[in-house]
Amino acid sequence: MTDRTDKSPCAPDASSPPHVGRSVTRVDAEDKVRGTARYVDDLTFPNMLHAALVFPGVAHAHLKGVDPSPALAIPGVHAVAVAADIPGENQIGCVDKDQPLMPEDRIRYTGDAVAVVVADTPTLAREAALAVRVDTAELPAVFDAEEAMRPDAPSVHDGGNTFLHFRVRKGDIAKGFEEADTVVERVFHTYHQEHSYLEPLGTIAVPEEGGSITIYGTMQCPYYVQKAVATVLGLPLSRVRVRQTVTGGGFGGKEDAPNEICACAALAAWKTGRPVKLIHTREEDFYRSSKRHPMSVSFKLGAKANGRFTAVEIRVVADAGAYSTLSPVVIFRAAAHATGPYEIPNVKTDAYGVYTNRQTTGAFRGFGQPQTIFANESVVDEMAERLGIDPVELRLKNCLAVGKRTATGQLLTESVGLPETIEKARDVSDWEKKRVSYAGDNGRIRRGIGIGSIYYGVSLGAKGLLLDASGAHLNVYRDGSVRIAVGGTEMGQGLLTVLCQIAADSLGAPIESIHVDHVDTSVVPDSGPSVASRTTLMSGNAVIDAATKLKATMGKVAADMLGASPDAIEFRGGFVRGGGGSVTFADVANECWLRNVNTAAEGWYAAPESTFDENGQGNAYAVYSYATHVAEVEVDTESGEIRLIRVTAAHDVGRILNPVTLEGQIEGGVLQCAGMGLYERMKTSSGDITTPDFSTYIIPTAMDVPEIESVFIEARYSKGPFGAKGIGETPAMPGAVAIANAVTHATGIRFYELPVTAEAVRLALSERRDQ
Amino acid sequence: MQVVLTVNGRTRTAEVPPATTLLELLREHLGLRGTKCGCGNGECGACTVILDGEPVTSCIVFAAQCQGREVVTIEGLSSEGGELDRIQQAFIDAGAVQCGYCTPGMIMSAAALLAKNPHPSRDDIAVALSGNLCRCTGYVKIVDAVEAASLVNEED
Ligand code: FES
Ligand code: FES
Repeated sequence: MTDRTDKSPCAPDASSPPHVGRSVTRVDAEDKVRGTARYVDDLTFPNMLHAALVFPGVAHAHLKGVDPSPALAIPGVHAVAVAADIPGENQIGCVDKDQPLMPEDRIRYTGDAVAVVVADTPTLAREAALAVRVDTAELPAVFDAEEAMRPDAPSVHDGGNTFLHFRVRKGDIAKGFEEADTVVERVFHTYHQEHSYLEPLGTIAVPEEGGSITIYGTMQCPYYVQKAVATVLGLPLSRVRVRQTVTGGGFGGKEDAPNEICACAALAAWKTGRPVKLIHTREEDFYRSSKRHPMSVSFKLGAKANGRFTAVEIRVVADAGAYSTLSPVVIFRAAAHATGPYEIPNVKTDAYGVYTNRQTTGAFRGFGQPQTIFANESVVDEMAERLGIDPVELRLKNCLAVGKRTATGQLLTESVGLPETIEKARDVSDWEKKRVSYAGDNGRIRRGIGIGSIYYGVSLGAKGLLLDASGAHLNVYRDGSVRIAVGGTEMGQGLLTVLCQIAADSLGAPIESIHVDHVDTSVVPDSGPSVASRTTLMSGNAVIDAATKLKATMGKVAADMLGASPDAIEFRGGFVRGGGGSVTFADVANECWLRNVNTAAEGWYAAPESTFDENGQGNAYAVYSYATHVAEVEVDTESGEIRLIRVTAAHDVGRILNPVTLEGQIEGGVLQCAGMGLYERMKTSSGDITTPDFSTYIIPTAMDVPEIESVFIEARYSKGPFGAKGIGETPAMPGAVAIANAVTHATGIRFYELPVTAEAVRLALSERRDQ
Repeated sequence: MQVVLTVNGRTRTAEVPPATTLLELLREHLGLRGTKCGCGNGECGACTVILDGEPVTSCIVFAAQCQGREVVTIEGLSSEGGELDRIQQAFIDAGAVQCGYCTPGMIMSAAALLAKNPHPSRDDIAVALSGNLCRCTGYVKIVDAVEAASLVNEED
């Protein structure tokens, strides 16, 4: 492992920890560049069979019957598992119990599968899946959330389609709008976005001796999978072991969807008594994994002539698709943050989650916020224009800071780096000069510069308290090497490396001696999901807790070895010092072993209490991360084509744990913002996906990369590991609206739906010319 | 049908069903699982290998088309456990690896580029990699890595 201190933004001094804050090379990089990292599809087991799913392909129908006999007649087909084969409960809902593993009498979207076919090869399984006869009678369906809210709309589940309503009420909006000198009111639309992680969903279910089962798979949330498989097979949790394999990206898309695929493979393995592998094709992944919620957001903002915001009224309608999955947590987040990162005295927000017969929607980097951010940050820009105030200045005037209150009435007491993100993004991008000079462009190519600011409640907040604790298991061997198990997953973001750094510095062990495993549910207790930028915070704190316990026991032995008092013992950089002497960490480990002293420890961290009452008031999240992006674009006023030329991304991360992995997270997020802002829209027609592959669903390539300048602000969080907060989501949040605002600056035309495509720009420009 | 071809410098013979792709041949029949499948449609580049000096998406090349030809995969860039190829090393040093699923394909596209154009510009690199999707990194550090690799003298 090399230590590349040159890229560290803050020069380490004697008191700074040896590893935290430095660009320690990723521990998993070598396996990945050699091609030896083992993703789930790279594994095989003796006697393994292959499965494929049967999709009736209708959006809403009565399921009258499933006849597997034609498939079973094909040589090499071993079994077809249907709902009736489920030994436990046919239920995999994450929060609400509204989702069967396989529908028994009613199909609710084109991603519903009604049978699992098991055969000798994947090709044969797919062929046989097409031979299964499915008898359905179509029902009237609904494909639009606003339509689905009407009383006469077809019901996706019994009892109406609007199944979620979160309210935020603060102050008195009637009074607030009365005080306003200017009011801006607009409606915004965003659509399905596909995660497009490169490794498709996949799993292998292996029946074990003694009536247990082990599930291998690519996933973010092994404990969700454990619960889903146990429920479906009717097994106690203790008989279901889930082992996360090297995971090729997640971004929220491997949060709920692995429940389905793993439970299907588990059922097939249970029925055949043999290991069963099930890997999605890319198209199946499009059909069957949760997307970003399409939302319509009505946003009304009032402000005084001096720029102070007086009131905001927001209505959010989110298309949850056929099942609720994670909507209760995602839409809660949208509601809590919908105002944007500003102190506004009078707030009324209503956010609705609505069933439709479309793809399920759930977690996607940003977790429900990028859609409302598009609305609030567009309106703030328009307000700036109306008031004749610079957009940066208007944001600074109203933004959250220590001592201010959020829309939920939460008083912010620490770690609020938002104002600095705005100021730094302004200065580093040279905003003031460019805002003027770009406006002077009058040729075919016009440049524009735009801004977006966000706040993000780290972890799950008040609607996810049951899931909001995490564990760690630290085992120090007699040679001083350390093996760590945590409940949080590495999906590419760099968790394993950052945990090595945290463990090395909190335990004082040499970093080379530390190994962190992918999650195995048999080792660490339920640690909740790896989502919502919570993993470094939660798993990091759990590791620190375990390290603290270990140092207490090992410290006593070391004190004895050194003839020093236990209070004087210090663990640092591979040595244990005290009383003027020192021994190596490994010496102490060995001495503990000789003396029969336990050198394994459990760590645990539970998130602080958070609250959200029926009026949406309370301390919704323990802490927030903040970010501001400034985007610069060139717009071709003939073709409408937009080129993203530069992004300045300023992030308050609490504390930088690893500058290079952090920068990598930000750069990846900036490109995902470019995708949401400019290209990506998964289109559907009558519940069918018309863009189910990468030639029709376009994500950014190496040729779409702008110049990216990452700027870090470190507003330490007292309860974070070494002061860090979450960073997973925020890079994917402010960029899309910053791009839209830049296009507005370039063209003078405001866009109310994302993505802002070349076509939309060309059309808007030609309409303006015609006027 | 029988396919005889050279893979990473060794002659290999495999008995495969007629519609087998080069990707399946490599992964399932020859056990070379470093090459990944991200789409199976020739759209993502995760399965890129070098066929007679050209980068190809092996998921849409039939094994039958490779009769008597020469294939280099990620496993062929450096010996097992041995010293890394300069591009592999540069990917590690530049922080160009996140989830790693695109990485073998990226590296093979980069290797094909550098074999033909030892000193590409950043734009050349972006064009050469534009068929390889990466959802994690934003490509910046990948282009950095290929640029850095191009500056390493192969003789060193
Ligand atoms: S797997 Fe071959 S191009 Fe995607
Ligand atoms: S590193 Fe994950 S797709 Fe490239």
